[in-house]
Amino acid sequence: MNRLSNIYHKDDGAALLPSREWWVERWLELLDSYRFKKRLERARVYARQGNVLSIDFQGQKVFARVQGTEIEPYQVSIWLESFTDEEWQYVIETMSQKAIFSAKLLAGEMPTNIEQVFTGNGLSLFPFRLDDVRSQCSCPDQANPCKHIGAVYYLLADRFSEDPFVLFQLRGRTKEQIIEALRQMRSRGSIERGNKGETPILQPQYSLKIDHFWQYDEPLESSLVVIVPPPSNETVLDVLGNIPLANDATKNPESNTVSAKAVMQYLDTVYKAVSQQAIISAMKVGE
Amino acid sequence: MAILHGSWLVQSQGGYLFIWGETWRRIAAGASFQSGTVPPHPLAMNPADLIAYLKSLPHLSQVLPDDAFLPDEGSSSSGKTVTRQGRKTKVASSDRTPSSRRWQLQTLALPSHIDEGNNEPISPWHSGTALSESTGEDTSSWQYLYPWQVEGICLNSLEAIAFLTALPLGSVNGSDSFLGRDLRFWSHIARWSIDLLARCKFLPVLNKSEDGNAIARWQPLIDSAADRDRLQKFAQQMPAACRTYQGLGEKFSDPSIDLPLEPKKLLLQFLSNTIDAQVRNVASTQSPPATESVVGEWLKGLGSESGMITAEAQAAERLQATLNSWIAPVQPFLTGQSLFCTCFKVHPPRQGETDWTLEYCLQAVDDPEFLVDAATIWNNAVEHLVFQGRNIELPQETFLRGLGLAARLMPVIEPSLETPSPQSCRLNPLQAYEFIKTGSWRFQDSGLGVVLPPSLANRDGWASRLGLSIKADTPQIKKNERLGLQSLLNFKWELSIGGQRLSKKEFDRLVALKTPLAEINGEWVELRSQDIKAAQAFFVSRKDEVALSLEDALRLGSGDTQTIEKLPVVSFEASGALQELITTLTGNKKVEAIAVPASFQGQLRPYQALGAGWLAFLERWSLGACLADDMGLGKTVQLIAFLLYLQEQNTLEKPTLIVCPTSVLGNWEREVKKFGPTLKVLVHHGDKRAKGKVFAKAIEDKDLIITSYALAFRDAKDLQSISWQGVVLDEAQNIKNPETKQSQALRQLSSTFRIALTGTPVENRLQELWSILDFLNPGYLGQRNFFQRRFGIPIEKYGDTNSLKTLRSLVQPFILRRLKSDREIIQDLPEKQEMTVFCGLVEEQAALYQKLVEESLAEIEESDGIQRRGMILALLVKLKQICNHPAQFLKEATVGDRHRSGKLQRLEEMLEELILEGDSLRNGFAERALIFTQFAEWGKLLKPHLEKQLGREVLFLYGSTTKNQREEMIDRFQNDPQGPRIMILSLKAGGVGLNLTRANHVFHFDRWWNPAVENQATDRVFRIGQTRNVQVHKFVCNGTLEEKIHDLIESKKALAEQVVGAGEHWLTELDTDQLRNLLLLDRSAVIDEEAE
Repeated sequence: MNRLSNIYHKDDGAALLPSREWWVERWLELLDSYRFKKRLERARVYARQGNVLSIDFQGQKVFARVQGTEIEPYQVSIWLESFTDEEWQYVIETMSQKAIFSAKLLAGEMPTNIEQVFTGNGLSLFPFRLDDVRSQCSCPDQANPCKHIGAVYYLLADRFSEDPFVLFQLRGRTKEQIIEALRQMRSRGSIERGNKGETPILQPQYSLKIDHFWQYDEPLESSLVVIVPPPSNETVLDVLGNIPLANDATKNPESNTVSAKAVMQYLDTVYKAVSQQAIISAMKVGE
Repeated sequence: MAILHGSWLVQSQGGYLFIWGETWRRIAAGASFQSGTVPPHPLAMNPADLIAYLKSLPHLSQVLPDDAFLPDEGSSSSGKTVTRQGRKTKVASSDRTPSSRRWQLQTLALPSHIDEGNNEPISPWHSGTALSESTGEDTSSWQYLYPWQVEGICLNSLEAIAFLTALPLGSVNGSDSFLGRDLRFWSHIARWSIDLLARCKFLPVLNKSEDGNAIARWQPLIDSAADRDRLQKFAQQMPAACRTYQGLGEKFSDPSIDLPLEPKKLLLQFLSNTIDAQVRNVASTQSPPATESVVGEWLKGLGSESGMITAEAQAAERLQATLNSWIAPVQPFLTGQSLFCTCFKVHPPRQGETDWTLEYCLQAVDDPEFLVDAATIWNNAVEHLVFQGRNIELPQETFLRGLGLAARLMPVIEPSLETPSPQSCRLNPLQAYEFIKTGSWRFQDSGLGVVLPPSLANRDGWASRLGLSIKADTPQIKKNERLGLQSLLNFKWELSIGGQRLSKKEFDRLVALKTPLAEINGEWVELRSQDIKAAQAFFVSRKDEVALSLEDALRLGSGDTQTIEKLPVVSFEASGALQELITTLTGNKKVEAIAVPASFQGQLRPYQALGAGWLAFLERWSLGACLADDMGLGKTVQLIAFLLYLQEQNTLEKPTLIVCPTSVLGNWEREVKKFGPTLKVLVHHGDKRAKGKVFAKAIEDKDLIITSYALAFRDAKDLQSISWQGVVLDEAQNIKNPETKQSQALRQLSSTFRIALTGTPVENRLQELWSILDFLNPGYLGQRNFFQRRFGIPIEKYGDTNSLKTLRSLVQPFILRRLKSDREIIQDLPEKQEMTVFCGLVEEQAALYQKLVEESLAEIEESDGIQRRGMILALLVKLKQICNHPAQFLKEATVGDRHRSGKLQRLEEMLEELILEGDSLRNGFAERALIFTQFAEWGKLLKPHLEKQLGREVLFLYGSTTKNQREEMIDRFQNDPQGPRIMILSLKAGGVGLNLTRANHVFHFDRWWNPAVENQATDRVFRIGQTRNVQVHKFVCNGTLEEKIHDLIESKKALAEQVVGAGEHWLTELDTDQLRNLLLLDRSAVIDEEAE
């Protein structure tokens, strides 16, 4: 993963993000391993043409509506084998061994080596084979995956890119549940628990002082006297990296969907224009 | 006068700035007061007044939308056309929801006082009424908040920013400021919002509105340490007045009050709306990449007015989820409510090691010293941790999230997170340096805390840098030789870093290490390459040519940072006489008061002896001094005492020149003769004044030459040919414009010392300050352009306190300003201070006076009995009129612009000065004056004249004033915080039953010669409730009967009281010769108008 995260070697704009996150890559590889290329291609066209009307994550299952040849859309459901509570317990235990997992999850990032946590416990976050992905479609086609299911598979890659934590969800735990379980795990080893009878000192919060009702005699804060551009060219856009927009799982190059890169470039222009304008207007004060 | 108020009002969607005006008016007793409704604020401006007032402030009215000047017709349903930004739009007021209407009635809870004995039982306090000035009333009577209705203008986010940024940023301007403190507060927040924009502290998001629509918005990002501090600080400082708006007035019927809004929420609401509006405004001028997808819609929405997105709900939800996961790392900072952040503490290597340690902990956002170590955090896997009295929510999660963000910013810490409970990581020297140099800023800018070792923390400071450490002393001087600002000092320098001296050898060793961080005697310091280069260059080349002047030393001593040959001076040590000079000048050592010279006649108060001592101290060092004591503290006396002191020391060898306004020439002469009769004085004035060689001869044996500013220019050649001991400028504000010929001429005079006397608050008037200081100590504050750039603009335009502090410390050694209100001064002063102000007659007055006396005496001589007495009394009245002003005597309609009266000129000067004094005070203790005259017709002439000259309202109370007007006037004078500060009273009308304790100056413009009557008038201000010292100024015309009667009374007080006690009738008993002696004009006291 490369999220412009290195303060010592700043990437230039051109290197913004690889096109796909590793988990998306994994998913697409899985699809590519499928033997019936023709059917896969038809599914991709289906997905691209917008036949998938909706995708919903409900609990551990994905429910989708796919427009087929009939008037009524077909109902597609996809799910993975959930891990048992015990299996999750092992996973959580392993995760708690390294603070980096909690830290990244809390900072909204999918840890790079998360897969190792699962494999270490004889599990796999991702299915190894497409056969491990369970699916059902209301279409008359007997083959599985049918092109409806296949179309949803393709779009799931986008979904994983937008919100990687749905992977956990499909295995039976939300991100929040994992974070909570991690805390409980830590508290087991915790020496002290709770507060040693100490109560917080309540700090008076903004009481209304009637005799100072109109009072405000502060001079303008010195750091606000001269408004200058930030010392570094980097903005929060660089800290956050590209918006994880779904881009090319199903798309051909002529697609008119904007790429994450184009979006970021646009935002960057806006940021620069805003900053410049603010500095100019700050200088005009009082004129 | 009026005060503008306003605050940001929160709405379910958006919000707006509401502005209204407050004025002062007398609350009529018995006004209707219906129970059950919110009463209108009795001091609030109505729309018409507010509009008129805003129009009178062009810099504000031009940024307000046009329809702000059209008050809504309330419920009227007729549509009307409003022009805005060039477009005509039809606005039907009935179509607008109440909250979007331009004009609104708002209910506002305000401190109010209840007066049970009144028909009007409750009324709000005026916002300008300082508690301290409320005549010491029991403050518990304040403790009511009561709702009032005010009508005002609503501004949307963009309009609000335009309005708030058009307000002046400089510091508070006395009690006359049109700007309420509440609006001033918001103008600072608006400045902050612009700063956030400049630093790109905002993020695009997708929100769902209440009715389910997807809205593209921009959100402020309060992540950096500086911004979180500001949020904290501004929340604390928010005036309560911003928090007690109760909603639309129309809806409100129950006079109960909602709890005040939480300041942080209000601030965030304001920022969120104004940032969104401003970024949106810019974004609307850009073209987003074209696309039909929901992303494209969102980008378009970010630049559209409503932000509304047309997209399938599901697609919008998906995008929202995507964006949420994108902003997750900074999500806590969008709400701005985090109280703790993960903090990184840098520890230098231990003995024998090379690696640095970066320790992890939690830091309280509002107190950087409050740290929770990692061990404690790891031991408490709880939802709430109470640690040293503070409640920490989700300590481990907060901590871990910060670590996650930090790992993203600086991957080098990632390996340390591979353990279950990391506490720190190690950094090699290069990594440590990189972190200190750039990483720490980056961390703090992204919402993480950083604690550096003290010697490395202050990167902008000089203390720990490589630089010069200087020891200096004054050179040996020969007898009678003097040092000046430009004199060169003896000095030694050494290289030093981090407070440690460095030998050349040690320096070379450090340079050879080639590390950016070095340990010197246990302290780690940064070696900057540019400093090393400068030091090497310094060693090689010009170390012997470097010079240090007394002026340089003074700058260094007053903390003004300096470089010598590009090397910062990191420490400065003065020894011997120089040390004494510097510690005294910087105020760390008290100047010694002079012993009262034996030749001084009269009383020298302790603070005056100190002032004279201060002048003597600066004179010893040939430094120019500005004595800027408040009016009435006796600057003249201090200067005379100082000159007598020099005389006593036998150092008064050459004459000293005093330059003053023409109106006080006579006063100076009298004061010198009175207090320092041993000083030989010459007034250089009038058409018979000496010129050329005669002048040089005439002043040869004199100690003191007094002349006017006008002549200082006109006779510049003569004056410049003299080598003066001293040049003293009285009322030095006369040279505030350095470009004038007078000002230029005065700068050419050569003298051993220079002194400026002024009663205006010179420190607050920067051009004047520069001009006076540049006269006193040429070049010290730099060229005028430089001064304007370095201090003028930052201080006057932005109210920059840092620049102000630097300037103050630079000028402080040369300015002595004491206020009447200073505790030490008050002790020395009597409660009532009586002073006689001697003024000259101008030529026109003199001619009228002389003619009248001659003619009348002839007639008087030929008459007797009652007729004679009547004629004498009539003559006295006429002479007094002439002394007041020819216009009064000649019964003219106006006073006119020309100076036709010495008294009036002096009065104007004094009033101007005390108004400036009052303006400079921040506590509401504005100076207020009563002017008594015995002639109502003079009051009628004086009032419009003063109003024009001073640009402010003046009250006039006399016999024909009706009871109602009278009460109104007294009420305004006593209670209106912005009310008129000057009131003219006719002696008769003002003598009875009035309570005017707010005044602290009393002027007796003409004289009754009856102390009882005058005292009775003076005592109007001395009633119960007077908390300040009062100055009484009695005007007397030099050379006229006024002076003679004054002298008579002064010299034979006891006798005079017997004689004069009954008023002026004793005069009628004088025989003609006596009368002639009394009335005859002393021509030498006449101000020569031609000389002006």
